[in-house]
Amino acid sequence: MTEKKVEKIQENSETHDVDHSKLDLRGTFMMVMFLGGLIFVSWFGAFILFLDRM
Amino acid sequence: MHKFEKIWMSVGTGSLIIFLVILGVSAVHAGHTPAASGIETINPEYVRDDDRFAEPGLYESDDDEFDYNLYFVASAFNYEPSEVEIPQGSRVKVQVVSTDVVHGFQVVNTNINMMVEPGLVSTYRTNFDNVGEYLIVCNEYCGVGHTDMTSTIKVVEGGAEANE
Amino acid sequence: MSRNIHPDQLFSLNNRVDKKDGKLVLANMIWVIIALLIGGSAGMLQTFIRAGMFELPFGIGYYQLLTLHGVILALVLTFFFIMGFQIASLSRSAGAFNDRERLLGWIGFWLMSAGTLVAAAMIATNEASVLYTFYAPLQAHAFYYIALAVIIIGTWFSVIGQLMRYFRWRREFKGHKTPLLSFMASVNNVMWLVCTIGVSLSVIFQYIPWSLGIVETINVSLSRTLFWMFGHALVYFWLLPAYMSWYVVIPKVLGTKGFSDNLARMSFVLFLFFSIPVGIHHQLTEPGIDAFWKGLQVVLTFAVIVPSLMTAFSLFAVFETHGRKLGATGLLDWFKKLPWTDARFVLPFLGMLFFIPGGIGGIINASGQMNQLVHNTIWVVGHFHITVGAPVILTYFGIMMFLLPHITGRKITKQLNNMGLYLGYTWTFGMGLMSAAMHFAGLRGAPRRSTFSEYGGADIAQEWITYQIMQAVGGTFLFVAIIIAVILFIQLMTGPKTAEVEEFPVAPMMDQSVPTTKWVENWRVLIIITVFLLLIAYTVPITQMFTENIPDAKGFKLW
Repeated sequence: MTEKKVEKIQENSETHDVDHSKLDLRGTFMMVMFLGGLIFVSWFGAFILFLDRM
Repeated sequence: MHKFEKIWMSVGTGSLIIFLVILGVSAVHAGHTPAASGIETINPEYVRDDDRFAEPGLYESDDDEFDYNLYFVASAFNYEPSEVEIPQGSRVKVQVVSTDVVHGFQVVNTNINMMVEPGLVSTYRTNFDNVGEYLIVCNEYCGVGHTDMTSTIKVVEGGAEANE
Repeated sequence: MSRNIHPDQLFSLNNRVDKKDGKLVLANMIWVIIALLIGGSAGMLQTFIRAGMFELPFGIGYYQLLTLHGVILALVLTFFFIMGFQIASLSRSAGAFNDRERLLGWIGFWLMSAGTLVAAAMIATNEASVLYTFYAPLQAHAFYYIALAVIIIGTWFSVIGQLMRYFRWRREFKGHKTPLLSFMASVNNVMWLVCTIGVSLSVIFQYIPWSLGIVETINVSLSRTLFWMFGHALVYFWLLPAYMSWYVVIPKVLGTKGFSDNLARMSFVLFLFFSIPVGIHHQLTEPGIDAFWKGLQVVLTFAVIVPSLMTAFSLFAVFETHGRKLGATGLLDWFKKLPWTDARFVLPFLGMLFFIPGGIGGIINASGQMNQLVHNTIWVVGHFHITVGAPVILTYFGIMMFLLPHITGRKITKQLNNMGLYLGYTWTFGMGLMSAAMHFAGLRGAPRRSTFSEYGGADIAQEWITYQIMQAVGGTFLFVAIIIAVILFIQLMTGPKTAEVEEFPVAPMMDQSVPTTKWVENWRVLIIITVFLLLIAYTVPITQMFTENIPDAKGFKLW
């Protein structure tokens, strides 16, 4: 099922795909920033536990 | 590169750098270097010939930095001493050695958690501020009796303040 | 006799894994299925024993079982899978192997098989209950170390055959950038050759003479350091094939393009540089290494996080771009457009979700002195079960979904696809429960590598047992998942043959036509940098292990 779709996508995206800056990546940005926040909070959680047991 | 990708990579690597700086400051200024770092040798077959480990336990320290030295000998499958009382608030230098294989010296619910390897002395500097009973386990596989290796540290009231 | 795939034809649907190569791939994959069944069963029994609900019959020891579990899953399953998948990737993207290259693959396969059988015999006879890390001075039978060495040497043969395939393509199509999959496999292979040097030296010059009684004692610090020089690169050796699938296969499964060829190559190059000079972060709490060198390797370890940050972005970007092409307009509604009923996508996607807490836990473990919080507690076991035990293995399962029918001339039926989905959900539930319990118990101090114990009736140990029962529940679900997996894989290979054969999906990248950064494929530069970093990180610590007169240790057999 996907073969035709891929070909079509390849055709009409060949020109601008190379340039990532044209992509709409709002959602991606939100997800990675959420991920970053999670890393930050978890790390400090562990660090506080470490200090607490010092 | 997408604008968002640039921001993400800056934020991501920035966070990592912040973590590293905090760890570095904590290690250098607060003395929280990783446990057991450094090289002090001891022959595993003649551990008992060393004054410190002939009769391991809690001894008053000559060093101004510490109130006590706490010595442990780990061997398959027990810790010596099997129980020790420490006055609350003591500044203690903990030293552990092995007479046979590798053991893992862990005082549960504290940051005292270090490997003990034959041939080397593992040292950790710490304060015992909270009264309570702390279980010591072996957390590196050392043979069939691995989970039988336990000891207890009892932190009791009336400690260092009284000494000083 | 064997044909290279022309750069213009990289994405032609006619490209299949060559028949003769396919046999070699399949041989490797059969070991994967056997290993999964044996190692998984051992794992389930361990969770029951540790919960105090089961005792082993016939005098089998808990640590004997644990050794089996570690060796058969962490080494045997992964090595055979990686060899099989990389051979398939090269054959699919660069073209068929020639006879010499394929012969090296077969020699590797037979050496690995022989080593596995001998190691298994040593474990079965209780001569080698030293776990898969075989820390000295616990001393196993010499055949155990020899067997492990033979397995590693077997991978070298296979890896060299694969590298020869890659370099033959490069010679023939000078000036073209190499197929991405073949480049990625080659990065993983070069990393493997470099990182296994340490452990091989240790096994050949330390463990084997010592266990044979030729020398009486062993330098423990040195053996551990050489082990971990390999041991951490090992986890990236497991992970990179999963990343190959995430970067190259998944976009094609979605029916779209990969995010960026250049970014993918760059992230793999960073893995090559930073996977090896970081092993001391497994030794942060041990004596014999100065704090400075521990700190330096912590910094290098943090560098290896960066390519994973890049990967996270590019994966979300592929999903979002795909969803938007299918009409998503909101902030996150593109998630709905993903193929939620396609097991080839769902299995690795579930794996990616696991990698979020897995990666975060990894950062905490590697954070220098903070390692004392978790070192050798069961938190660590939880950690590697949501890294290698979920993201990596679920992606491997997702790959086997299409690879097995692709090679044997079949197609994934609707029913088998559904089985794949059930496999994913059951695994996710079981592993989620088990590893969460492990993480919490670990923070409360429960040690790893320990059989059931009440620790003299200590209160805290009672609390651990509650978590251990949760682990046994998780372990049961995982065992069910393994049964599903084994039946699924057998059916994928033995169902009715079809005229149209399941595709090995390989996506073009959005920047496919853009030339790659020059130095990224300059192997001389890559290897020099890799070795240079290795020397910086290890020269002084290892030299000190020779010059500081650390007494050597005699062997002990304490099981």
